[in-house]
This record gives sequence, structure tokens and C-alpha cells, in this order.
Amino acid sequence: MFENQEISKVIGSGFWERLLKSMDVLNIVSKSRKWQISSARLLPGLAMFILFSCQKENPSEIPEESYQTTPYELNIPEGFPDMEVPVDNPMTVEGIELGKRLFYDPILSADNTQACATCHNPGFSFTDNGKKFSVGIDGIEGARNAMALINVGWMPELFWDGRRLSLEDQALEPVPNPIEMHQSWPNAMSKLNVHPEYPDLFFKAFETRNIDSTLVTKAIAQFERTLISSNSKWDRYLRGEAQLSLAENKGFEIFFTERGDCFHCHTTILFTDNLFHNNGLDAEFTDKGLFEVTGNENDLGKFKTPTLRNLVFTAPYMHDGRFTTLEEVVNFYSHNVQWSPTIDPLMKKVEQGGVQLTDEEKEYLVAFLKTLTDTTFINNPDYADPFE
Amino acid sequence: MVFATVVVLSSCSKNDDDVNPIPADVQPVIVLNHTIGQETVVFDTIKYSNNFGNVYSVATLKYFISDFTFHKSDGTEVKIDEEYYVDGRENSTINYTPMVKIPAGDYSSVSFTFGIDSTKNKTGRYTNPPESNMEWPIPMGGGYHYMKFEGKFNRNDTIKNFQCHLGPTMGNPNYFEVTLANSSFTASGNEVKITIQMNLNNWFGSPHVMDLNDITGIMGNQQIQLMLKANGVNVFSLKSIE
Ligand code: HEC
Ligand code: HEC
Repeated sequence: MFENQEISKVIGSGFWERLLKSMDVLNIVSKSRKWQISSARLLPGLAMFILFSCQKENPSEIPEESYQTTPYELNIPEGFPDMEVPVDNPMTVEGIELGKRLFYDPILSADNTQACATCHNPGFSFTDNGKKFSVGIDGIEGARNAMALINVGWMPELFWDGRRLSLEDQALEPVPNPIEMHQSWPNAMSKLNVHPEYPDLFFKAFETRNIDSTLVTKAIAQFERTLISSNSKWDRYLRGEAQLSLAENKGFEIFFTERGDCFHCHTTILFTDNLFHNNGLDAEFTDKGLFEVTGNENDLGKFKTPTLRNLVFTAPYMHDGRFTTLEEVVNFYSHNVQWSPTIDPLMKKVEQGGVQLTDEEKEYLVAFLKTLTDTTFINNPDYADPFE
Repeated sequence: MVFATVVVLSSCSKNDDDVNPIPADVQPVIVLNHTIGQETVVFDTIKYSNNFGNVYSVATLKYFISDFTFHKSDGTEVKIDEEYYVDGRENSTINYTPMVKIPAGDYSSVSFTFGIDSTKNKTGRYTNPPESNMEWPIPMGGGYHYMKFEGKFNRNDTIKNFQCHLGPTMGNPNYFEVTLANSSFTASGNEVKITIQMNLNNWFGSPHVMDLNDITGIMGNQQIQLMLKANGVNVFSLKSIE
């Protein structure tokens, strides 16, 4: 769906080999990963080139004030996938700073009461303060649970139904949305353009004082790409810096074997395959999920697999926030899975209602899920409200 | 995304060729046809019958093939040390153009590995999707699935799921070599196109007749893995070389 988008890649590096060595599970093969590395060398180079050539092409238009952005070097944690960054929106220190400010600024809502951060609160791993549904500025409640913004830079499709294909594109939606910030973009633009500080901040980031919605969404997307969580207990365990308790270890095995069979969708390091599945919540659908976007009967009731990182901060769970605790979630996967024609073929023992974990196994699994908690992520000063 | 990467690559290798031309090499192109019997697979419809008598659908077909090898009658061979990921639902993945070419000349047969051999199949080899989503978790031995072939079948009027997941159960070498029958050919010109048919029904057909009711939760079941491995060599056949 995104082949035609120009991208540059920021490359992660292979730490699994070292992990395995440290865990002494398997022999290590040193592997060249030649194609990944060659694309890494090429594409960021390309992005840089485009940047420079832009500057050179319009020498007469360079204003007297100096415009000099500082390229931001995205630090991809070891073992994480390459991150695709649009070539026309390279990350800069100035762009990210501006994006953060916009993310926290209620100026983007019609009555200056609601910011992105109102519904995506960092203390709740960028979800809406434990609410089932968010309420827009006009007091109207939505019908879907606000999603956690964790490692969103790796998500090729955004929203529960995947209707937006880039963070830039996604950020266009909440501002005019009548049940969210409910402000037309032209209105938002005129507020920003007469603001005492924003025109200068946009100049620093994008070399223009002429603010438009494209630049606003570019800045916000740059900030969102920095929202990386890779320091949970589980990550530290993989790096050999922490030990799992007996219960956590047993939960790890339930998760990563067919006993619980969670890994097929909540895959590896991101804890999501970023694909769409019907995991059997309902036999009939009020919210039709991916079907709303594709119109394909086979997509009825499919939703994007959410990450499981930082679950302890992101309750309630599922697209409609129907479960308030992890115990309820694990009970569901054990005994209450519902059959429907589009149920994912990966779901096991559907006719029995699910994977049939015992009470003890459920406790282990929940203990493991809690090892995905990353408090350094929610307390990261780089993500914090700049107005406080 | 992977395809973008591949494009970058093939353009790299082309550049290399310009600098360092190796004349008369022929580009192999491998085309994969996924069928039930002779019929091209239509996904998501419960209408196919296997030898056991299950009536089933195909929802997912993702797999790795690797190490394509071109044998000569004098016993020498040209081996392409690459793995290739196929998603039967993505037409862009069913034509595999390896990054290297083979010398022109006569070949007596073509073989390849289904799955990934165990020296290469180690957790961490792929960090990017879609390949990384094939992970075979560390508590099950680590590495990557060779294949995810999933669907639904009708059992006494109940629709059930099956997951034919093949891989290195606890490190067992469950990959296998397939030598295509009647695959001698002469490589000449720019390109040789090798069309291979994968008849999905044969996974459950011979020598072991399998009931889809048993094809669930099999990643830890080495006995079933071995039966599927034995059936697997009968899944592939050569359709054409031109
Ligand atoms: C009124 C509450 C509210 C506000 C304000 C809000 N969001 Fe959201 N956000 C949500 C909800 C609810 C969803 C899920 C909606 C859906 O899937 O249809 C969501 C989804 C997202 C996603 C998708 C994440 C994923 O994993 O797919 C991103 C990114 C996002 N919001 C960013 C923003 C940004 C940027 C802003 C400000 C411009 C913003 N949101 C303002 C409630 C809000
Ligand atoms: C077939 C794919 C699949 C499997 C297998 C699967 N999940 Fe999920 N999971 C999903 C999808 C899709 C959702 C979102 C569903 C929705 O909201 O409609 C989800 C949601 C969740 C959530 C809620 C997260 C949130 O932020 O709201 C948790 C927790 C969860 N799964 C845990 C598990 C556990 C534990 C297992 C194993 C017992 C498991 N999942 C197995 C696909 C899967």
C-alpha cells in the first residue's frame, strides 16, 4: 500500500545474534544482511542529497536570516526494524521541537481547550487517561478507544481500521473532526499565522513563515517518530540486564508457544505484526473495522493488531475499550472467543472458546505482559509537555 | 517495503555489472503458481477437497524457498545462496528474480530448498517485515517459519481453523530439498523463466493422508512436521522452462 511513497530508511542493527549468544540458546551465524545494509547506505544519502540540492537551487530566495536545521539522528534500538521516513519530511531537531509543541497546544482546537495530548496523554502511554471513549470539544463521545502512540513510526497503517497511510496523513484528521478538535484547517492556520511565536518556529524548521496544514502535520509526525519504547523489563532481559521471575518466565513461554499463541499476531519486538485480524471478540459487528475502509466482506470485524507494550498504562483494552483489566483480556482469549465467518485462521480452539489457559497459566501470562512496562518511556523528558 | 529494497538492490547489482561485465550470463526468473490440483488457488472460499475428504479454504500462504541450484551433467552446480519470501496473496512476490545470474549453457536439473537451511535460520536474521513476521519463537527453538498455510474447513457442519505451520521445531532440520523432475534446460539469451507449480492439496495427500483436524497447534509436534516434510517433496512440480 505504500510502495509508491518515497522513503528513507533508518536501520536497526542485529542484536538478536548477541542476545542468543548471551542466552546460549542457539549457535550464532554471522550474517551479512547485505541488502539491508546497502539500502541503508543509499537511502539516507539520497535524502541528504535532496536536502542540499533544495537549498542550492534557490540561492536568490535565501532570506537574510540564516536558515539552518540540525539533522536529527534517529536512534533505532537494536533488533528493531528499519524505520521509513518520508524523503520530503526528514527529521530535524527544530522540526521535532515544533511538532512537540503543536502536539501539546490546544490552539489546534476550535475553542482552544483540546490538544492532541488531551487524548494522548504521555502519563498513560499517550492514551486517554483510562477512558473508554474520548470526548471531543463539543462534548460528543467517539466510538473507539484512543490508541497508544508507542513506536508509531513503524506503523505503515494508522487507526484501528488502517484508514491512513502515514503519520503526516493521520494528523490531518483530528483537527477538523467534529467529534474531536472540531476546527477547520483554515481557521487553525489563521490562528497560527498571527501567533507571536509560531511563524518564527516554522521558519526555523521549514524555512517559511507561511504556515499551512502540511507543515503542521509534518512537524507533528516528526515528533511522533521519536516516540520509541525499548526499555521495558523484557527489553532489558533480552539485553542481559534483567532477570525474569519464575512467573514471568512461564508467561513468556505461554506467550511465545502455541500454548497461548499470542506471538503470531503480537509479533516480536513491536508486539504487533501491524496487520488486521478478527480475534473473535464478537459474533456480529457493530463496528465493522477494516471493512469500513475496504468494503470487502472478508474484512468484517478485522482491526489492527495493537502493540502490547505498556499495557499497564493503556487500559481499557480493545478498539471499544470493552475490557478494563488484563485478566479480562486473558480470560477472553482462553474461554470467550466467538466464531464468525471472518475469524482469523490463527485463532486456536475456537469451538471451545479459546486456548483454555488454567487460572495459574493466566496469572503467568499477565505477569509476562507486565514485563512490557516501560516507565522510562512515559517519563521521558523529551516527550513531556513543553508548556509545563 | 521489501520490494522497494529489492528494487534498490537489483539496481545496485546492475550497476556492478556495468562496471564489471560478465558476458553471456543468463538471468533466471522463478515464477510460482499456487494451485489446488490444476486450478489456481482462489483465497477465502471453502470449496477445495483433499484426499482425506476435508472441504477447505486457503486464507494464508506465506513461505520461504532458498538455495536454488542449477546442476550440470558433469556433476558441477551453480547454487544461488539466497532465501526468498513468497506471499501467495501478493502478486508482486510470486516472481522471484535472484540477484545473481547463471552462466549460459546446458543444465541437467534444477533443485531448491523448501524453507531455510538451519545454518541460516537463526532468530535475528530478519528485522524487517514481512520476513520478520515469520518468526519461530525462541522457546520453540528459534528461527523463522518455513511456511504459514492457513485456512478453514468444514467438519460436521462446524467451520474450524487449520494452521499448517512448518518450521524448525526445537531446532530440527525440517527443511527439505526439492529436485524438479524433468528440469533439464539450456540457458541462453537474457533470461530463463522457470515456472513451478505448488499443488497445495499434496501437502495432505501422499505418502501421508492428513486430516486437517490434526493440522492445528503443530509447531511443537515433530511427528507431524516429519509427515508434512515427507509429503512436501510431492507438492512441487515443474510447469515450464522457457
Ligand atoms: C478527542 C480525542 C483525540 C484527539 C484530540 C486526538 N486523538 Fe488521536 N486518536 C484518538 C482515537 C479515538 C483514535 C483511534 C480512532 C480510530 O481508530 O478510528 C486515535 C488514533 C490516533 C493515531 C493512530 C495510532 C495507531 O496506532 O494507528 C494517531 C497517530 C493519533 N491518534 C495521533 C493524534 C494526533 C497527532 C492528534 C492531534 C492532531 C490527535 N491524535 C488528537 C483520539 C484523539
Ligand atoms: C489472530 C491474531 C491475534 C492473536 C493470536 C492474539 N491477538 Fe491480541 N489482539 C489482536 C487484535 C486484532 C486486537 C485488537 C482487537 C480489537 O480491538 O478489535 C488484539 C488486542 C489485544 C489486546 C488489547 C490491547 C489494547 O491496547 O487494547 C491485548 C492485551 C491482547 N490482544 C493480548 C493478547 C494475548 C495475551 C494473546 C494470546 C493469548 C493474544 N492477544 C492473541 C490480535 C491477536
